[in-house]
Amino acid sequence: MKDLRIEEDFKPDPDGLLLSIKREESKGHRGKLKVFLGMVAGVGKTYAMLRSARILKGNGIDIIVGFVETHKRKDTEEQLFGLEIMPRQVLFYKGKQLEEFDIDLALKRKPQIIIVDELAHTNAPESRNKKRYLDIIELLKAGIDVYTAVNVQHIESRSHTVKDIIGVDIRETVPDSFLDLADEIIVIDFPPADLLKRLKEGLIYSTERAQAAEVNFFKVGNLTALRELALRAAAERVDKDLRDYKQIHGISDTWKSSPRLLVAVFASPYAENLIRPARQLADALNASWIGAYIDNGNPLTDLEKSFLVKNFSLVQELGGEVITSQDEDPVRGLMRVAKQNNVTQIIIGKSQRPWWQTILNGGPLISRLMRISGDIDIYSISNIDRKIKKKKKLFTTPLNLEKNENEYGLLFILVFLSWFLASALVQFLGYLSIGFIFLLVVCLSGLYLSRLSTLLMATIFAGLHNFFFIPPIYTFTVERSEDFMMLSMFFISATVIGHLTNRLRTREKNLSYREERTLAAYCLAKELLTAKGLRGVLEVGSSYLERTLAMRVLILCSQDSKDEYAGSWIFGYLNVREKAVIDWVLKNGQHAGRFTQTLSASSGYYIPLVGKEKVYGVIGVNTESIANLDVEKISEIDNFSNQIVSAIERELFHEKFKKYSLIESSHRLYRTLLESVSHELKTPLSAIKGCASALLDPIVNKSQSFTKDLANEILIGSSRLQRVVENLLDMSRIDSGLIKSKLVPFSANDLIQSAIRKFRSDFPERLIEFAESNFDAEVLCDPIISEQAIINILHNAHMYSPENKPICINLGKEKEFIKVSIRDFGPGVKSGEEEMIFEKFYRVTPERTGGIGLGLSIVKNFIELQNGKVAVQNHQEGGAVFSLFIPLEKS
Amino acid sequence: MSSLKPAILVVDDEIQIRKFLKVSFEAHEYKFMEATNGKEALLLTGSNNPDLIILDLGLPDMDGQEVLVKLREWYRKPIIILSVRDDDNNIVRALEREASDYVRKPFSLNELLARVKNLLKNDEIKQTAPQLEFSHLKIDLESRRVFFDENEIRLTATEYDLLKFFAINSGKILTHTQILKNVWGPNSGDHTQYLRVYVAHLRQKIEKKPSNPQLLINEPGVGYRFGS
Repeated sequence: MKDLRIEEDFKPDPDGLLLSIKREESKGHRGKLKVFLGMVAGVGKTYAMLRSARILKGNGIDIIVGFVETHKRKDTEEQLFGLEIMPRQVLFYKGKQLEEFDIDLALKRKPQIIIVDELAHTNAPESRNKKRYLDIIELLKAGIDVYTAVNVQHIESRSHTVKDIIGVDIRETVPDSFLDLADEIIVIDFPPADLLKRLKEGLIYSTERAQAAEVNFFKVGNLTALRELALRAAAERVDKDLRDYKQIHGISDTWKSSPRLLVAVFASPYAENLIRPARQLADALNASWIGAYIDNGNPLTDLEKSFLVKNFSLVQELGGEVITSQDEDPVRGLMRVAKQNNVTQIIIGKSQRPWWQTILNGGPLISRLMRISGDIDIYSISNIDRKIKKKKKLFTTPLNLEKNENEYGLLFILVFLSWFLASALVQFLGYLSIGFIFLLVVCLSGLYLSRLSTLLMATIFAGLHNFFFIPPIYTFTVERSEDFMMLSMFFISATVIGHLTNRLRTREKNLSYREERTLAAYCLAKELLTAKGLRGVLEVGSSYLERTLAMRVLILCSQDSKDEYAGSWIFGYLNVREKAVIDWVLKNGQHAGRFTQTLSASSGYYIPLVGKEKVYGVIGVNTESIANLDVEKISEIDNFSNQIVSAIERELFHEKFKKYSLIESSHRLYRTLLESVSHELKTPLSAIKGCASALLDPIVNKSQSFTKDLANEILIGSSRLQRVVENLLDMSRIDSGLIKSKLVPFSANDLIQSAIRKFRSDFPERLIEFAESNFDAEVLCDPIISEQAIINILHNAHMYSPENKPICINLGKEKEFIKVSIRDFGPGVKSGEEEMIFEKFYRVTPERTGGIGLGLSIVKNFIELQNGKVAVQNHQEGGAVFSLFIPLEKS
Repeated sequence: MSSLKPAILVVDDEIQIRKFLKVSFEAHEYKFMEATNGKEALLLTGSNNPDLIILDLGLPDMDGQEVLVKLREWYRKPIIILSVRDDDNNIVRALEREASDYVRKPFSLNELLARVKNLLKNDEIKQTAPQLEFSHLKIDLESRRVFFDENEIRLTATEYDLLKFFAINSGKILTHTQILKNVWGPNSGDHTQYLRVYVAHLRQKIEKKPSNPQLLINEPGVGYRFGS
């Protein structure tokens, strides 16, 4: 019992377990990634890679060299001997010849293992992927194992530290999330002193370059620091692997609930200094992390927007999740996001704002955050704007000047009008009351003008008031101390009130923006709900996106190699490049196109429609008309795409269901058909067999009357059998199109008489009332099949009528048709079944014997073959009336 | 004499079948009654108590199986099922609801008459004899002894129970489940395999030619029938 309890306590956390298993699972589908990590160039990564390649090749493994840079090092070049080396792709860019790794060739060759050196390399422009690591991801996805090499300084989260150590900017970096994909990391370690010796011997670079390199980079101190960094990166990795292993195998660890970090992201380059440490901390804690941006409604400049987009992509590259939320108060917004996402730690930067702004915003951000954070830990990172050179003036002013040009006209008109009004009224009210007019104008304009304009207005008014109205007039001096008091009070209250009204307005704008977005999402959901079919969903989705984005949009849904698309950006007109991007997105399920890392030379921005099981399609946005795609638009498109995906899923499910029920109903039809045919064939057959066997029975045979009865029954049974067989044959002839009508002029009276005669031979006891027409009714018909049609109707009437009731036939003219009406005294036709009874195998009461549901269907087919038509309705005194319309002979 | 004529009730909605059976049964000196649907059948059985019922499973007003169940609530005399649906499940179900036998349409008169005679005869035997005879086989129910052409044969207890169950139900079709339940007890389950082995053993002892059995006859997909 005790053991059981312990096991209960040590149950692995389900979320963590799921994550690990998913990672393991995805590892099964893709190729394996082995990364050779070094502290610096020249430690022998390439050499090590090639050596292991030679060993593997010796064991018969299909390993090739995709791209290797030997830097003309002799021992490295020797290792290349005997290995298959892929040709490089030669590109010309701005007159220069560039050699690149040829991803398409590699995918086509599809070796077991491929070596691609220099992981951090940036590909030439025009290449499919911006970075080499993106090429490698494609290789892995194609199931190819990859060996690659990288130095520690190129790892995104470490590049900053390296920069701090050696003071050189690192431009080429690899996101940490890529390294997380590695199945194995091998550290190539080399003692710094030996490395320096190698360098001096010219084993790493040719001599002149070595000199330069030594000065910049190869110092024992630097190398030791880099070595530590590389070893630590690998050690952290080992730690994480161990934890993964423990999770999968249910070995209990100390942590109970998984930690989750939140880092505040803002629209400035400084945010980077917050994001990188956050990633490192998250790694060390083995935590997932979020970059949260709180939009407080202040409009951003284009530059700020671009910073924000860059910071978002940095967060994503480093393996974090981006969440944006609207709140006028950033502290409240952060806390809301943190609570919604079960965040355990928040990381913020120490504010560099002037004291007065801090006071205006209700105290320092950090202390406010600490007050309301509850059990969430707060980390504060100091001096986040260190080392950023202020090359550009980022914030012209804390207030925004963007829209002001349009405002200034209004501002000056208002100022002039107020001044005019004040001058007119000053002699009645006195110069003190005039101040209130100015105050009122400032307050009101706070509702319409920006914060800067209100401030400007308040200043101008203070000046005007002083100059024109406060004695001594036409000077800026103030005589009396109470006037001075009043003026300063006026200025302060105007500023504060202007600021407050402005804030109120911002909050309202924010609120209405959020409302708009919710409403938009709601409207789309509603429209998608009423959309009919997959096509309908795509059309609703595309027209909606076009309306909200004011851009041309394309939605493509690719299902079982069948494409459906909608939108005004027409798929058929796309050029090959755009189609290639779409293919890539469909295959990889990731964003691509302009404003992204992949295939950014295209003119569209492409979003995959990723469902639960697979990628259903792509949304393409034609971005030719715009220079920038801002964050709000991107998140809006993402939102819409999610809704469209669920609508597509709904439709596909519906279609599958429909297909299934169609199969089901055809199965049912088949079963009833088989049953009724077998019944209809076996019943007369049993009568015939039974009667014939009875005739052979000596006892039965003795009586004359018995034998006659039995012979008669055999006759009836055979005609019944004959009818069934003929109906089946007729139907199959109709179905196969073999039956052709030969139309000849014929008397309708004769036609009906002949049908009645034939019918009577089978059912002599049935009374048939036929009043021959007094007009000369010549019809254009095929007498044989017309007669058969009439017999079928008579037979139907006979089956459903009581024995003592007659069948009544009437002839009439209607337009260019002769109308043959046949009335019975049966139960009539149920409303709604008037059409169905003419359908194949349809039977009004399936359990009732007689007929296999072909008779009336044959009637309809036969009459229509002669350009006629059939109808049925109920007689007002009971029973059904079948009407056959046969074309008149026009002579 | 006329009161001794066995009365047969035919329940079938097909007029042709009824007509030919009427002619045939009357020629063979049976009293003939007919019903075209389930309700009529129940009514006629209640008022006239026929000696045997021939029941078609496909009736216009209610399911033949349902009619069978209702009849069997009180009616103990033989019921023969007529069916066009050569769907064995339906037949097995009917037999388990204590139908005495079945005939598949189309059938010949001899076939049906033979079944009718057999069932009526057995009905008489069961009430009288403690000793049962089937061509060369004699079973003494009182002393639990079995004779093959006057020579006593040895049977195990289960074999004897099996044979006894067959014998007192001779002429009737017995489904696998019925046999298992009655011989091995209500919890015997679905061990058809078991039954097959015992039947094979029994045939070795009671049949003249066990490879071509004449007494214990297999009804494929349904069960066994005992007797001539």
